[in-house]
Amino acid sequence: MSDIDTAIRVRGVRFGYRPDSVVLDIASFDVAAGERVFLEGASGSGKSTLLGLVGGILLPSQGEVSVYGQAIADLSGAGRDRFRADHVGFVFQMFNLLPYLSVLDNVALPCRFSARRAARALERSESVGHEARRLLGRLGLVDAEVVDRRVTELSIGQQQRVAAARALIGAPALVVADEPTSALDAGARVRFVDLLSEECAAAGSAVLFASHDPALATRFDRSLSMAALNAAAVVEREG
Amino acid sequence: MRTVLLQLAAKSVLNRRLTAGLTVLSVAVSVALLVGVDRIRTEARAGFANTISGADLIVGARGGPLNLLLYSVFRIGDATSGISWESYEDIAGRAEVAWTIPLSLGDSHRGYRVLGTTSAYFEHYRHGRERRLELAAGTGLADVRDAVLGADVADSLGYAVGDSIVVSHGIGDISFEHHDEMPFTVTGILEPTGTPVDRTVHVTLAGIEAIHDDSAHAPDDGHDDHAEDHGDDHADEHDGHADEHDADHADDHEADHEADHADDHEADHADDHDADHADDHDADHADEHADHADEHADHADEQADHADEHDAAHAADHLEPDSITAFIVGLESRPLLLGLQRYVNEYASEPLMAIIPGVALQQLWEMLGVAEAAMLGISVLVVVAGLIGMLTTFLTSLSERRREMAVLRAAGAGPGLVFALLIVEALLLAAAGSLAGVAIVHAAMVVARPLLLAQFGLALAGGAPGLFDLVVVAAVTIAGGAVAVIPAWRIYRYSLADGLTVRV
Repeated sequence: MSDIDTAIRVRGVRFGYRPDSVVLDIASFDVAAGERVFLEGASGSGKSTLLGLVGGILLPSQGEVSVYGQAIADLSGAGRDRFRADHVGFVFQMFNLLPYLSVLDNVALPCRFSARRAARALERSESVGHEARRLLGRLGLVDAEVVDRRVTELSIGQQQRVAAARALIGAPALVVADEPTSALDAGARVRFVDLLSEECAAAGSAVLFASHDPALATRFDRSLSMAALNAAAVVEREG
Repeated sequence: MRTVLLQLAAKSVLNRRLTAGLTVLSVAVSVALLVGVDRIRTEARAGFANTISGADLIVGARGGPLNLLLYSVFRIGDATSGISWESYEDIAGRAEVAWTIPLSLGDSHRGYRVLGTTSAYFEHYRHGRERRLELAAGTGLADVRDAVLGADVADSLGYAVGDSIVVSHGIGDISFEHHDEMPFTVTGILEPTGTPVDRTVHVTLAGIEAIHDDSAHAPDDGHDDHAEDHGDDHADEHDGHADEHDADHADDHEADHEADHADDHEADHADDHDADHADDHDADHADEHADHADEHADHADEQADHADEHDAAHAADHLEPDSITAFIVGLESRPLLLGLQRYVNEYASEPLMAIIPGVALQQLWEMLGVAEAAMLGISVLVVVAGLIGMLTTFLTSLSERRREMAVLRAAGAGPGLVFALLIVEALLLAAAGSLAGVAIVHAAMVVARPLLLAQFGLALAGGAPGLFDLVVVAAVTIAGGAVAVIPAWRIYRYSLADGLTVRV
């Protein structure tokens, strides 16, 4: 599907968690294939809701969301899960990792749910484990000792890089990051964003990066403000 | 997907080792209680049923049938009264009776019951599936002072054939009235049977009589007291005062005997014993003490010999006791059973009762049935409590699980995955807990079986895990999975509402 030029296409979307409230009202929003877009917005601006719609976890009450030409609403529940597993990598603000899995198993997790991503990981390395190690190395986690440690023993910065490696494994067409740097200090933020951008460029993945920190906007191809995008004036939802 | 699920569930459980371990433990303990109650119930029944076989009737004084069964066969409780020897002989002599085993109870040896009986006991008593009593060592009962020990008695008190033991009057670990004058000699030790026989000291009816028949044995009493006096006297005095001792001895001896005889021997034996005794003692002691003031070893032997003479004489005179406690009857043919039972129950000269062991046991089970049902009911409730404990643990871990769900969904898992994950975890914990519970019970049984037999005479039949154990493991596992539906459904609902962001 990466032959389609538009990674994300949003048209006339309205969404509310309750029938009487609208938290998101977007007339039009596009991300081109391989494009890296910075989405700036304060808490409650509807960022997370938009990311949930793009990831196929939420369904719009009106309008259309397509990812690489696939209308999300046309898929069944299980179909959306499969589509997400195959094509979208996620990084969150925190709690990205399963505490009972090793660092490597956490990184390799999407390959357990998506045969397509497992196959693409194997195109680059001899095994999923090797690909996970390679990505961790690219993201600066070269130390073998870090890789073998329990995820709960890692620093927040290290955890976020592990999460980025997981989002990138199997080269999904789209990487969605929701405030991945807000727990990091300023220096680490820039480094993290650069590493993520580099790897996404290498994999050809489009990036939708949401943050409340406008200082990071310069590191992306394009920057958008949630306030300009979202016609629904909401503050009740965090995001 | 199935392997992913199992691996995730297993790793998740291992990650929560402590709470998972405690959950398994609480399920295990509750299942152990349930399985244990059932086990004890069935094994106790089997044990009781195995204790006596081949007996058609048990005859005792009129009273509760259960009481008769319990004291005559299981050595539990006491007889209220006995049966006269005449009645026993009358019933035992009837044509339909093939054999009888007379039982005389009421004495003990260091906490073990002493049973007076005859060689018929070893010939006709059957336990388990028509198994005879077998001697592990020595021989059966021949002489008045012979004793044949059950396997446990010999084992726990460390007796071997040839040892001499002393019987106490009354029952209990501590008895103040020792019949020191009547030491018995262990002539045989039985093979273990897993029944109360193992905990019984068997002696002859005459042996029991010898302990109790004070009138017959007053001379012996006097004599033995005397022997003890001698022991002390000899130790203290004999080195220097051989002459003095003779004088003392003569005085003591006569004084004792006069007193005893005056008190006890008014009736039958006064004359006999006076005569015998006076002769024996005067002669023996006069000689011995005059001549062997320093040969104490010999003296002891002579005393023993002397006692033997008395017993032999006594055994000859008193083979027939006045009464016995109960007797077991074997019939020539089973159809005669009810007739004989009626005959005994309507016995004119004495209030007697005959019970059919199987029927009395059935009565016991009926009586215990309510208690058993209550115990089982309570155990089931405890298992339910264990499962509720597991449910609580799962529900309290839900907030953690919501984050886990968001991570899994972001990685491509469907909302059903964590639902299934919780169910699988619950199945794993419940299965591990119930298997552990069954294992605990069977391990405990191995330990408890000898203790129960030793403490309560309760012979539990051994047994591999049975159908009930399997049913319990399966039921608890399924119930565990069913209980987990509640938190699993909640996490499923949360995951649909939460999306990728957890608002906790």
